Amino acid sequence: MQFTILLTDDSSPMRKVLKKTFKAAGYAESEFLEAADGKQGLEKLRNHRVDIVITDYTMPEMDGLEMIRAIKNDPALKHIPVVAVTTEGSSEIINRFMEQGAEGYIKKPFTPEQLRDLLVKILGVSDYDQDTDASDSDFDF
Amino acid sequence: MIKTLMHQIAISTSEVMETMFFLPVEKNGGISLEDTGLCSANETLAAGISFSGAFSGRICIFMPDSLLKMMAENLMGLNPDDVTAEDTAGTLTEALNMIAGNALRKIDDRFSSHLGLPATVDPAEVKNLENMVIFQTLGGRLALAAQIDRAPDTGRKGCF
Repeated sequence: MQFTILLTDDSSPMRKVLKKTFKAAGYAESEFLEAADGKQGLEKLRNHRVDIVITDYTMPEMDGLEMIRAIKNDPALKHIPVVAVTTEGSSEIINRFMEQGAEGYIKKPFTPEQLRDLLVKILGVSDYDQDTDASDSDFDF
Repeated sequence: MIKTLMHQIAISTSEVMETMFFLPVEKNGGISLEDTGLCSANETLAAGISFSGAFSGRICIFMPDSLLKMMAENLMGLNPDDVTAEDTAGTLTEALNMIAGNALRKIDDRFSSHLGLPATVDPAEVKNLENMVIFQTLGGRLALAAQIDRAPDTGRKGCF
């Protein structure tokens, strides 16, 4: 199944890791858009049809929390699911993400399996699920 | 508090190195940063990150370029020849970001810490290195140092 996925993180290696993890999780056919902060991310959202947003918390210009707030307050964007990927996973910060309308969160460090489970929950079936021979050992992460 | 922080940094480093970089680490006791050569060597890279909240301070990481390249390869699934300087610098700051966030979270899950943006620093210019933990990995040694500027409840200022 093909999705358009927006990866918002100021760390270029982390965007590459997320992309690799998505591919390993069965979303290899998806299109990936990248943004280095919330401001760039919103720009991409307004110019592309996006199925899911993955966002970091701490970023320059506009952080992940402000970005989620902007998405969920925009009638044209609020239907897009948002997943927060954060190192600062205190309950208070997680609660703030969820209060703003995030559909899920994942704490770094994460395993590919943890991310895959969350994506399947939000996006539904992946190519990975359709491959009955696949096992966790197929992850080349 | 600094002892608790260093303990959690040690646990967090082990978890992050293993989960994200596939490099098990072993703590090296009884050696200083000078013994490792990490503070002066030309090939050492360092990064720092500040944190604030119930207590505030700074955490720094040091490691040789060769280890960082190995980590970047493992993290992003790159071939050795494809690793760029941007990849290694980004891997260093991201590793520190994950270690610091994970360690602070372990101290108290309810503790609302705020991490600054991690940035590369000149290893020779990092001061206050008395609180340090050193690890051995397959690709070389790495070190993490921390200082607390303001501890909870005490109102105490300055480094430990």
